[in-house]
Amino acid sequence: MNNSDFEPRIVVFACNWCSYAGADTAGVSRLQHSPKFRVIRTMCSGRVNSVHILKAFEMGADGVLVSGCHIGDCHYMFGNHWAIKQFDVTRDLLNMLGLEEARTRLEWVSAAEGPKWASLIDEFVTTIQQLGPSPLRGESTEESFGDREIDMEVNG
Amino acid sequence: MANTELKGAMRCLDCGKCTSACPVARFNLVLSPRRLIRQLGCGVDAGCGDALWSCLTCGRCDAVCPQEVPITAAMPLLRADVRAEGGKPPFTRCGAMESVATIQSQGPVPQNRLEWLTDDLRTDPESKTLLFIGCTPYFDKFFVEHDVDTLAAVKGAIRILNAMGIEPAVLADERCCGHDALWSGDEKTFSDLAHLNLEMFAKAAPDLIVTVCPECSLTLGRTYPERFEAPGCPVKHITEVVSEHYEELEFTARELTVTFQDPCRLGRHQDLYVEPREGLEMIPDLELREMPRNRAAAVCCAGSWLTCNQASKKIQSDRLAEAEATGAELMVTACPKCLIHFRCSQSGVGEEPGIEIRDFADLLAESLQ
Repeated sequence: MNNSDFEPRIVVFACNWCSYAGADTAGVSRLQHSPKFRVIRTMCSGRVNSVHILKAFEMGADGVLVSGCHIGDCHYMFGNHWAIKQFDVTRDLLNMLGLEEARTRLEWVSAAEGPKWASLIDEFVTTIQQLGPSPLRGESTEESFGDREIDMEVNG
Repeated sequence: MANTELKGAMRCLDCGKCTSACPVARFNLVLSPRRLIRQLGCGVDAGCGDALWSCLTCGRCDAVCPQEVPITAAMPLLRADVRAEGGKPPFTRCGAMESVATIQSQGPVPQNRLEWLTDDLRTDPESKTLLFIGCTPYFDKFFVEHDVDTLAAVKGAIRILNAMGIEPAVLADERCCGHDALWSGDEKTFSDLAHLNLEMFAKAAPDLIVTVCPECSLTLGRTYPERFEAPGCPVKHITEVVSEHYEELEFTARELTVTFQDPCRLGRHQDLYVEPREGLEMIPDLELREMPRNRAAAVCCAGSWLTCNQASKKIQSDRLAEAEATGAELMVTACPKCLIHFRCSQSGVGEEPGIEIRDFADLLAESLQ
């Protein structure tokens, strides 16, 4: 596939309290940035565990960005500390599966940082665009990526 | 539900030995193998609810059944039926390990799974003895908080094979054997993984495949031939290899008291009770003390990626207490899953018996002369 024809599938997990609001700030401030990502709002970046990121790649994502409140600003005090721990484990697993490290990213964006959100998204989309399709894509198609029901349940 | 299994269910005498022996039923009233089989025999839809997912498929019920009802073998079929109808297993950790297996099943994956190999572990890509690593490198990364070190068993196996004059081949494009996918009713992932592995075996053409995980040896050696095709050579668990080659191995004497935890996949599923014990007793001065429930009566580690609840914890703490009561310093097992689940149990609230747990191959390799 020619990289210029390549439409990357990017999943962004944004926490409700900072990053999602940061994305909103970027939007209401009319900051131009790439629309090539799908954002999923979670209550906290700490809620994003290995399986969310793994599932995204299993279903054919080319990049996953997890974004939360800055350290010290977490709405739940220490959720983002937990996010780092889980993200590191996930990255180790993905590295073993042969995924390039640049395809996953953990960032902190506050509700006021609209410009940071816009530039972060642009930067990440460019990186994924340059890397091309994920080696873990399997045979997933654009349709199956958009429509597939996520087979995931929470269990103690 | 497949006809053959239904016929098996019709043989049930309703004696209830299965439920009395079932380690889960003892603590979790949701599961009763007897009720499940009776419902199947009567044509009642048993394939619903938690009962199906809480079974460990450890085979304890099969071992006591006077009518040889294939209770355990019915589980993957029942689960596949439930999944085909849209049911979902209540995976622990939301199914992260399943996702790792599914990703591996989807096509070429440029894995970096051999980073732990060091120079002192001699391997040879041309060797006709293939050491199947299994998911151990992934386990060590994923269960990092429990410090499981399941790779110690793989490293031990390489050292043992080296001591026998064998430099085994280890393959970078090996996939998960598909054991967990099969037993959780995910037929597609299992079949995809199996075909990728069989293709890899056909290319490597080994004379012997050695595994450290009894789930791998069960799946490669027994399930693949039943469902698809044989890997073209014998598949042996490391305990079998050690007991067959006892003359070539020498160990230093160790005054150590150990007890052996029979993994369900090694013992009841593959009838390997003697081999691991022979292996352990090759270490001079080592004393093996049996737990009251051993061999076919052994209690499973209560581990499955399908459920983890109070019943699992109770089974584990009872088993750990049983091991500790033998007076042994070490509980030796021969399955990475036993290691993970017992270590996890011990790293919980700190009330579990803290007996040290080691893998068979790891302990033997450490005792090599």
